Amino acid sequence: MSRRFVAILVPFGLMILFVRFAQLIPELTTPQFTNAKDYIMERGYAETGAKNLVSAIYLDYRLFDSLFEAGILLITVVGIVFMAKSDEDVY
Amino acid sequence: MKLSLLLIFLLFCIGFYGLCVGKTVIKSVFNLIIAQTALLLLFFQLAYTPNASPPILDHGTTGLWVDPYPQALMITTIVIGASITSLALMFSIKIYHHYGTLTWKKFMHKD
Amino acid sequence: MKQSILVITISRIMLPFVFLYGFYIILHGDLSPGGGFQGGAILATGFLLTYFIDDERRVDLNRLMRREKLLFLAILLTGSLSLITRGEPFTNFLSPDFPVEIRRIFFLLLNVLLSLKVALGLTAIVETFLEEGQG
Repeated sequence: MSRRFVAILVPFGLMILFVRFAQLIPELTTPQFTNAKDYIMERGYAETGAKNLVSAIYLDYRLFDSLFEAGILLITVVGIVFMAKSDEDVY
Repeated sequence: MKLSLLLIFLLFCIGFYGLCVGKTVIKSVFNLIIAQTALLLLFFQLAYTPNASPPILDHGTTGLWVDPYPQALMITTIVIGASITSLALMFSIKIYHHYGTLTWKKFMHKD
Repeated sequence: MKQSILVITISRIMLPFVFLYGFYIILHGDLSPGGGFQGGAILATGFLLTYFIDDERRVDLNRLMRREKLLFLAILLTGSLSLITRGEPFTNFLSPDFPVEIRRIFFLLLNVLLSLKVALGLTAIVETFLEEGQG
């Protein structure tokens, strides 16, 4: 029963944070808070050479992120294959 | 916009409640996916601008652009979500082979 | 498992178009919506269609994983090549003085490598679950 109580209580604790965050939303979409967006719209094509600006972000500005995101997938595959293979040795 | 945020929060609540209360391992994995989908929808909703162009320079410009940063972040989230889901399903297969059941209460306090 | 002849025939017709669409998404990754991760997922879906055609087909998992590790090393090398050519790591290895059409080589190379890696990884996951289910 206590687990069910926590399951209802924790989202409402999160909702207080969420509402506090939602009060910032009109400022997020008005033009004075779009520095990064304006920067990449003006200079993204000249600096990176990609017309698709999402691709310009994850292959040039945040390439370090994308490289080890591919590493996460590699580690997952190695872990899954290891768990599947080690089962046959034990049983 | 407020209503959509409320719906996204409700979706997250459903996922979290099911994750805590779900009776079997498979249901917990499903609810993990639901909570993650709520997170994806939250980021896309925050970046949404009415009547805006996609962030691709060849398309017709109306002067408004969608912010490309949340979309680039969500690629990472989708790949990590696929990794977590496949690992959780593999763990559930192992649990079934070891204990013979997938109900939480039947194997929680066994060795 | 008995397969329907309709599923087999439609899968055989659909298979080249799925691969063609995947390669289109990959090679136009920096010009139109798409990219390496999305195109790799489409290629892995096209590989899933081959199980509808012939479900006795098996792939060697060790060979898949060895190729995936080599591809990951190639991606790391491509990403850090700019430390030698330009002096700053993890960016385009061709300096901004080149015209845009030549600097596009970096995006093409990285998109193709990433998509092959993602396709091999998802294929290995599906293959492992299939072997686990049958063994």
